Amino acid sequence: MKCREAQSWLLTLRTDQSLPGAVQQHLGLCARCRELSARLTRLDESVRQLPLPPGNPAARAGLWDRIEDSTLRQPIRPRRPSRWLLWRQAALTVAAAAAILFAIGVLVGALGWFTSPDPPQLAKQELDAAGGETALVVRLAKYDAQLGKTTEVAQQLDVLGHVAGDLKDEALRRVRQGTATDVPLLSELYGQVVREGIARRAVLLPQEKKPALTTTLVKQLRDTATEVRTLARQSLPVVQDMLQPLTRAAREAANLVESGRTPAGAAPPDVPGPRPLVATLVRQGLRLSAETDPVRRADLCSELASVLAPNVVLLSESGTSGQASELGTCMTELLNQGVAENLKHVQGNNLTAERQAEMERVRRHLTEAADVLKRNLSRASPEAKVELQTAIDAFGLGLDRVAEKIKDKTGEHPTPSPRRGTEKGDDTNGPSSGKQSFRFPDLPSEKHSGNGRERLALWTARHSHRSRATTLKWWVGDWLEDYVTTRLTAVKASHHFRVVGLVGWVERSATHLASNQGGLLCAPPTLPPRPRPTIANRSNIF
Amino acid sequence: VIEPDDSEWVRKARAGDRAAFAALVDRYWDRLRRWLLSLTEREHLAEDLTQEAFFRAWTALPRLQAEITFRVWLFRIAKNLFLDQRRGPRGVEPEALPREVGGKDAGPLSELLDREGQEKLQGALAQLPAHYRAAYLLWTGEELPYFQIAQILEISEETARWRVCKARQFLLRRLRSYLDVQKS
Repeated sequence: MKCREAQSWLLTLRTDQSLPGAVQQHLGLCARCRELSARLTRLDESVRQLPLPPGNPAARAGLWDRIEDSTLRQPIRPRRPSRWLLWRQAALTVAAAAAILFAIGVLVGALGWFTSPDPPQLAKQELDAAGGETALVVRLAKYDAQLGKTTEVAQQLDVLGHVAGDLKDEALRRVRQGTATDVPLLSELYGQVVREGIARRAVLLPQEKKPALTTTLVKQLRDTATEVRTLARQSLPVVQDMLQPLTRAAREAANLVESGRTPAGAAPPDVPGPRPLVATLVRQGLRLSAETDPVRRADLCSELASVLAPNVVLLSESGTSGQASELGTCMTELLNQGVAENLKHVQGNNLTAERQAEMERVRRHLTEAADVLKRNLSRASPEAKVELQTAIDAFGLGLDRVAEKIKDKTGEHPTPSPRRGTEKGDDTNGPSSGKQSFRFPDLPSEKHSGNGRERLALWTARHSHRSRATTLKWWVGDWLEDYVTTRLTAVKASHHFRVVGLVGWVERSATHLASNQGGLLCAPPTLPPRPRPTIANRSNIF
Repeated sequence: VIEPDDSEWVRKARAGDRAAFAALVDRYWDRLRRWLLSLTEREHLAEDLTQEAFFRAWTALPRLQAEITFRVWLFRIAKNLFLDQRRGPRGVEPEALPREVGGKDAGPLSELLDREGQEKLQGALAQLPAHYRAAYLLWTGEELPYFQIAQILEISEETARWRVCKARQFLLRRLRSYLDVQKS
């Protein structure tokens, strides 16, 4: 061994640490390196013995005063980890969008969302306690629904970040619990998300957002690598091997994002055949993030809904603390956010034959999902029936919304699903033709008839605040969006008056809703009187 | 180095037990103050930052993740506070390091030599760039392994190793005569 090599060992190891044999051998032969070693020992010892000036006791006493005075005399409550990135702020700049959000807030608030003991979303800890894998499935399904809705790269990266984070957390949780058999799968999926999802999407970020967001991404990825490596060190070698792909993927993705490169080669092709549900959800999420065509995106979401349907049934039978209905709500979100929202963006109403076929595929997937739910309800146990019925009701409302969108685009006249038991049969075979009427399969529900709003009113009266909020958000969003669009087109001169008018209507409606939950939803909204715009009151508004 | 086990105290403190938190304060107050004093070179500031770090630790205890030790987490909070105050308004001259350093019971000559040596040592440490100093003092004073230094400073383990190595090289060059006197 040469002096240079020995010195690099000496400079990085503690002098009381056991040096490698070769270094010790070298020290026995080389007086210069021995001297260096001795100096280093003296240096470290001297630094350690540097006296600490006596402190001011008032500083420590002040700490207790602050603790005493702080509001933390209240019990400390665990908080959910903060959101990974706050992408959405930038998107909320349009006054009409703000009005819609406000309106939804008022309406949902009137229904008791904010006062409800139920949290607005199922807390991660709650899910974890109930069963890690199911919890992960529910979360991934929600993320897929979000990916189904957005094509904005920054938002996609936000969601993909959550996906990657949850996969990593689940892998580490299993290592800590000593149930690491699925860790290789989770590591592999994590790698796919960060390489094929995050690294590829980050390149497409708009220039103005790129510097800030890539810095955050790189930091997150490197933190993950450090966190995983730290845990791996404390684990058995076999577990270290399982975690190694995860660390490597995080590092590689960080380097790719930092250098603005994409992974070499194309994304790995889909392997046909059965795969774990978690893998399907991740793969479908990645496909959604890469797909821009609205019909194909709607198709991917509907396919996912059909994959989730059997799992809703199985979960309802296993009776795991409301997770079947939670997954049912995810399916509804896929329908609302993924299918209906994408169909809304399909250009034109006269679709080509190819487009018609794609729409038909969407409908077929949803029909399959509805069929699965329907067929299993009659044979479900009494306990499972309650859960399954909740999921079916939520799903039925999503189907209504999709049916409306398909009708808009194809000119067909669908029979909404919850109008059940009145007609028999469906036409799920082959592409729809012309103005032919189609319907989703009948879903068993309480006997009632009426339009979507009436059914929604009944449904909201029967179900939890959380479920109400999820569904109301989309129904009310649609109505308000239509309303705002109409009003904005009519009176372009004064945006704020339209907003003010809308807010006024929402406030009146919310009062109405609070006193009679079904009433508002059954009655068509009356347009607010249009105030006369003046310069003076315009400046007061914003 | 066997790291003290804080887990029981941390668990109780998370549940709001102030006595458990007081035990943690007792254990780490001086260690943290020493490290911050080396970084800031100002006694009052070091004390303020120490108090602030513990206060934030108390308020954020529920967010402490299981895979990170309390000590690492506390020092990371302190590091962030130190960086924050460095980014703040400037213009305040740093106080001189305490001249009246405590000595051991020794004769007047050895006491004088000790004091001179300590001043030299502190002077050399003060000349070290702050990021090297932070890593080196965690390594030598706190005797933390590299991966924990990396966690505190939010850098890679390789970078932590590199910084300690460079800091020791730098100090060796500056303190060669002092270290040789010590030897004699």
